[in-house]
Order: sequence, then C-alpha cells, then structure tokens
Amino acid sequence: MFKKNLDNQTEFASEAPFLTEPDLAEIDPEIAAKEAARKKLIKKIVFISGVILVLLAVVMIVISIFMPKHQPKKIAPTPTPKPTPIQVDQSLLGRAQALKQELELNDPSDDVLYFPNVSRLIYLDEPKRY
Amino acid sequence: MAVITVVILLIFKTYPASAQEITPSQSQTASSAGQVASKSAIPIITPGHTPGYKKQKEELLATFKAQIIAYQKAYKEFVLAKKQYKKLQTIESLNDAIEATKQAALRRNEVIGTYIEILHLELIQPQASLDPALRGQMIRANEALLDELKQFHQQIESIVSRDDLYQALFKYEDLFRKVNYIAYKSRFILKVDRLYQSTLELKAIRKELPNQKEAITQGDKLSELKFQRGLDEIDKQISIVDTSLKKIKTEIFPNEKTSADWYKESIKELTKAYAASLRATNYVIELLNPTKPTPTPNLLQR
Repeated sequence: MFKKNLDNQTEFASEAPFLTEPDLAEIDPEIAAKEAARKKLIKKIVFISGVILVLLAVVMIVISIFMPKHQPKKIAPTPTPKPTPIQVDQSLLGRAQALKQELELNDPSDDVLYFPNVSRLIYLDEPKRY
Repeated sequence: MAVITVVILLIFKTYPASAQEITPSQSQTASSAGQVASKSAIPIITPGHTPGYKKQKEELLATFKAQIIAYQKAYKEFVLAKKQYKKLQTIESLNDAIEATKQAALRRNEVIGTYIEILHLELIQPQASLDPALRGQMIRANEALLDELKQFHQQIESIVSRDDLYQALFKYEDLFRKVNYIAYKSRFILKVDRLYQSTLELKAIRKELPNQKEAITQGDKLSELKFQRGLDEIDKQISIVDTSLKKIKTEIFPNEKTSADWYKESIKELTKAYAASLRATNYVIELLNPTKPTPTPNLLQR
C-alpha cells in the first residue's frame, strides 16, 4: 500500500517539480539528507573558492605594492673626452738634438785638420844666420 | 638586390654631408690634435756646401795623405844623400844631394799646397760667419798663398846650381811663416764660425721655447717655476758664449801673432764658448724632453 502510494507520489513528484525539501523529507528522509549534504558541499566549495580568490587578490595587491616600479632606462651620458694635453713640438726637440750632435762633432779641442809636420829644415848647406 | 644597392648608393650620394658629419667627440679630438704647440717659423740653420764639395774634399784628403807619405820618403832620402855627400865629397854625391834636397823641398811644398787647398775649400763654404770680412780676407790670403807656392814649386824645379837652391830655400822660410800664419788663422776662423753657426741655431731654438711652456708645464705651478729656471740657465750660458765670441772678434782676431802658441791660447777661449753652448743645448733638450723620475718602490705597502 505504502509502496503503491510512494510510486504514486514519485510519479506525482516527477510531474510536480515545485516540491520543497520538507515535502521531500516527508516523502523520503534519506533523499532529503543527501540533498542537504550536497547543498552543504556546494556551499563549502563556494566558500573555499571565495577564500582562494580573496587570498589571490591580497597576494596580487602585496606583490604590486612591493614590486619595484618599472622605471624607464636612463641613458648614461656619454663621457666628454678629456682634451688631450698639448704636445711638445717634436721638431724643436729634434733640432736641439741635432744641434747637440753637431756640437759634439765639432769640439774645438779635437782637431781634424792638423797642420802637417813639415817644419823640419831642408838645407844642403846650413844657413848662415849671423 | 642590385636595385637596392643602387638606391642606397644614391641616398649616400644625395646626402654626403650627413655621411661625413663630424660628431662632437670627433671634433674635440681634432681640435686637441691641433693643439700641438705652434711650429717653428724660423728655418733650421744648416751650413750649406758648394756643389761637389764632398767629392772635392775626399780627393784632396786622399792626395794629402799620399803626399805626406811621399814627403817623408823624400826627406829620408835627402838626409841620406846629405850624409853621403858630407862623407864622400864627390860631384856625383853632390848632384845626388842637390836632387834629393830639391825633391824633399818639392814634396814639402806639395803637402803644404794641398793643406792650404783644403782650408780654402772649407772657407768658401756658405756659412754664417762671426766676422765675414775677415773670412773673405782669409779666402783671398789662401788664394794668394797658393799662387806663391806654385811659383816656388816652379822655381825649385828649374834650379840647377847649389847656390840658387840655397837662396830659394832660405827665402822659403819667409813663405813658411806666411803659411803658418794663414793656416792657423784659417783653422781658427773655421772653428769659430762653426760655433757661431751653432749659436745662431741655439738662439733660434731658445726664442721658441716660451711657446712650449704650456706643453711642458701643463699648467703646473712647480713645473712653471722649473721651466723659468731652465730658461734663465740657458740665457746665462748663451751670454757666456756671446761674451767669448765678442772677445774673439775684438781681441783674438786682430792679433797678428798667429803661431802655434797663439792658436792654443785662442782655442782655450773658444772651448769656453763651446762648453757653454753645449751646456745650453743640453738644458734645452732637458726642458723639451724631461726624463720622468722612476718611482721608488713603496716597501711599506708590501
């Protein structure tokens, strides 16, 4: 009888979707418990995903705060070349060195053109001086 | 591909200025390169030479050497022949002695002639002279002397008699004194003028030294002081040279007593000027090319 009634009820339930939980609980408390557990699970999932999302958002904010801001690369100024020191006139130095060489070659105490040793007298008969 | 190359080439041809544009750094380098101190405006003084001078001198020196050897041989033969004649007292030995005397006198004359020619060749070289008038006078004196020596040569060659030879050789003593005077004076003038020429060059270099001040000192105060001290020392030495040269021109040149002793004394004065000139030149080189002191190793840092 009960089963017959249940079948009728189930049939009725499938035909009438607006059955509430208490209705179902009345019909089958086991189904009602399952439904309640499913809802709880959904709530838990929603809650956990919400927490994860919030955590992610917090992490993103923290990262954005502590991450060094992107700065445009500064172009290092090209070092201005130092002016090279003024050079000593090498031609003048060359002239001075040539002069030194010339002087060394012409030492007045070194005589190349010696007067020839021809002062010996050539007389067959000795000259009568007095 | 070829079309692209042509287009690139056309672009470069159309805008050559952009391709050759000098960057600021390049222009700076160029300007710094141009900062080399002003180059000398005064030409380098170098003694010139008459054409064929070198060859002429080489030939004369070779002849001179050969003639000295010939003279020494002739003199030995003369001494031997004289001894033979004194010993033998024969006509043959007399003739041999006369001929040997003639030959010795001729060879001696040749040696002296070539020596005077060498001096003349040196004197005629274009060169700055302390006393150009005296140098010119000496050139003419050398030429006159060469003529006299030639005449003497001809005279000796033509002599036959013993008495004529004696007379000619006796007169030769006067000629030899003249040879001595001209030879010593010419040599001294040559030496003085060579130093005078060097002094002119030294003064020209000295004149340009202030232009090098910035390059040498690089703006360092201590270096500037050292540079100034260097210039003062150079000026001091140049002044010594000038004083000596003045003394040579006014006191030594007019001195007619030109002998070996006079020459030695005059050379002393010239050596004084020479030493000062060399010192000044060394100072110039030192100023233009300072040797950097080698750093002493710091033992405490080890």
